[in-house]
Amino acid sequence: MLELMAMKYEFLDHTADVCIRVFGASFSELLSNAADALMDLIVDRETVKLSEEIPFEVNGETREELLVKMLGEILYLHQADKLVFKDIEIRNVARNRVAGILYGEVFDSTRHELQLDIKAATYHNLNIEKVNDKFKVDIVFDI
Amino acid sequence: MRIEKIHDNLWEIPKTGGMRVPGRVYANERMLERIKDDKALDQVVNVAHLPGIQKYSIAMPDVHWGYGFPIGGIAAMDAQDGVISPGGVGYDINCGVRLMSTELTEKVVRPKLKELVSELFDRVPCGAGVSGSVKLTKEDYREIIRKGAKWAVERGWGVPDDLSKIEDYGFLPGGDFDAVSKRAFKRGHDQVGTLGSGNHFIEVDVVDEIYDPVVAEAFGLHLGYVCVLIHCGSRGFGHQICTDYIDRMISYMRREKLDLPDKQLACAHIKSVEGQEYLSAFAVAVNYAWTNRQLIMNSAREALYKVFDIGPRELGSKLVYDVSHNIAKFEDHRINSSIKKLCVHRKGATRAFPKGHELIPEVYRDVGQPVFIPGDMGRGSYVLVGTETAFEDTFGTCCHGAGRVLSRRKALKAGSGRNLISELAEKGVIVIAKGKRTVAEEMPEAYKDAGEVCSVVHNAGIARKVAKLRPIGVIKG
Repeated sequence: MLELMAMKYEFLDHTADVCIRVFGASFSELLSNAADALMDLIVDRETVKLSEEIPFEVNGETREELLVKMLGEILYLHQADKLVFKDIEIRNVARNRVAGILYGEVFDSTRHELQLDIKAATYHNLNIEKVNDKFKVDIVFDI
Repeated sequence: MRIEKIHDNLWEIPKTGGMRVPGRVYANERMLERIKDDKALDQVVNVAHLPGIQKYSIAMPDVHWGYGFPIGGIAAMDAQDGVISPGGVGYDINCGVRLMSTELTEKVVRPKLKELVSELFDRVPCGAGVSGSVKLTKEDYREIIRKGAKWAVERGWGVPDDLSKIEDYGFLPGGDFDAVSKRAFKRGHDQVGTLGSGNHFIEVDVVDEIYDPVVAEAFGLHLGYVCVLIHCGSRGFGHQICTDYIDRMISYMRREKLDLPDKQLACAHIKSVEGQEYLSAFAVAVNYAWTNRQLIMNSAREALYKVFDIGPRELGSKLVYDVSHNIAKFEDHRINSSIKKLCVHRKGATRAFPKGHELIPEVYRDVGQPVFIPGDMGRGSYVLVGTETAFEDTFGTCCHGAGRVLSRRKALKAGSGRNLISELAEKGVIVIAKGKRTVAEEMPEAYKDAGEVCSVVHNAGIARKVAKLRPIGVIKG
């Protein structure tokens, strides 16, 4: 169990889409690990430089909404502003607000190979659980 | 879960708990056992909880686990007091398939097939992160809202005859510019005319078998001739609209105290402000998707002209039809003894209206609506025609594809160490894919046999087989 909790995230099987199980010692860490998982799904982060800092902020009524909206923000910035990301810093977690900074650069097809075209992070069976004071959630992405 | 047999190809999940209607699954016994392996049937049950649902929550034989709705699911809601669910349409609003016939035979195409597949790959931007050559301005978006696919034809990316053979003639009215977020416009502005990735494709096919010569003739399909099958949707534009409105509907459900088994089923009453605004934004995405497929078909035509050094007359290409399989449509259906206006959600399901129906383009009104069931890259796709039974039993709907059986991870594992492109080439199929993983994820074994899926709908009477298409060239994202 300890070993499992040290893990940031793992892949679960899903017939049509991509499902990940994310862990975190705190809600803030859960958000950060979920963002890491999504960034890994998009591109090999080793190839991404830290040349851009993009502040973000999302609002939501529940922790599940904050999580999905943060992932939606990453997908939007990736697709609309053609950015790829290496890292995230969660700076502020309030009851209905999450703010932070994404680090990365503009997509360059000569250096970055995009892995998956992800349509969205879904709310399907989304339930953030607290097990022994640690957080756990399964997230399905539509591919 | 209790499942009762209705006949060899139809099963019923009786109403329990909060289900408003029973579930119905079209499958043979063997397929049903496999369907039980994932969570698709739980999702059929969840959908049966939606307010205003009529008769049954239905699953087609290609059903598999999605998010919220199963993929291959149908739910028809009362248009007066029922709900609309963006998840019941899907993120890829108006994802669909169009088939274009040509007057080139396999014998003519085969010697230049590699060149043709490369040319298609070069002309149609595909894969993640690519932009198209057309950049939509605000005015372009407004024109697409007003005209749908006709906007593309007026710009020379098609011929007027194309429009006569698209569902609803390629135009859905009711789109409202102000219902769409700036984010959606931005995400979609450079993606029109692009294929995307995942299961989207362009396929060069040969008409390999004819089951119904009269209908095949009406559809312009002739044995041994080459056609092009295109599968894609509204790209990032539709994805963003769905994302935006699921958020709004989650707030609506909280306010209205609507409780459903899965948050991804988020919905709003059709008559509510949220429901109406979603439908206004959805209509824009529907028109965008038709425009997208129109541009891609135009690029396919140009590739054929160039490779075979011919013009439109020699190519003789004609759009056979364009079907939508992620869609919600307002239609009249018989419920008990009266006709009711319903909002039919088709999530990975295809309209399959019978001959004589006024919503079928005139050119096919005497034979019935064409239905396309793409299969995997190796085993071929099918053309069917809608029936009266479908209209009575499934709100005029049939399946949309073969349906996945392997997850992408399992497919990658099964494909590791194999050269799938060579394996397919040995079977006479030339494949080019942008993404390294795509070919393995989309390998034939990852899918059910489209032939078996089509046999179920054929035997259940909800569509009739017309022709089989054999793939010879495939472009994937």
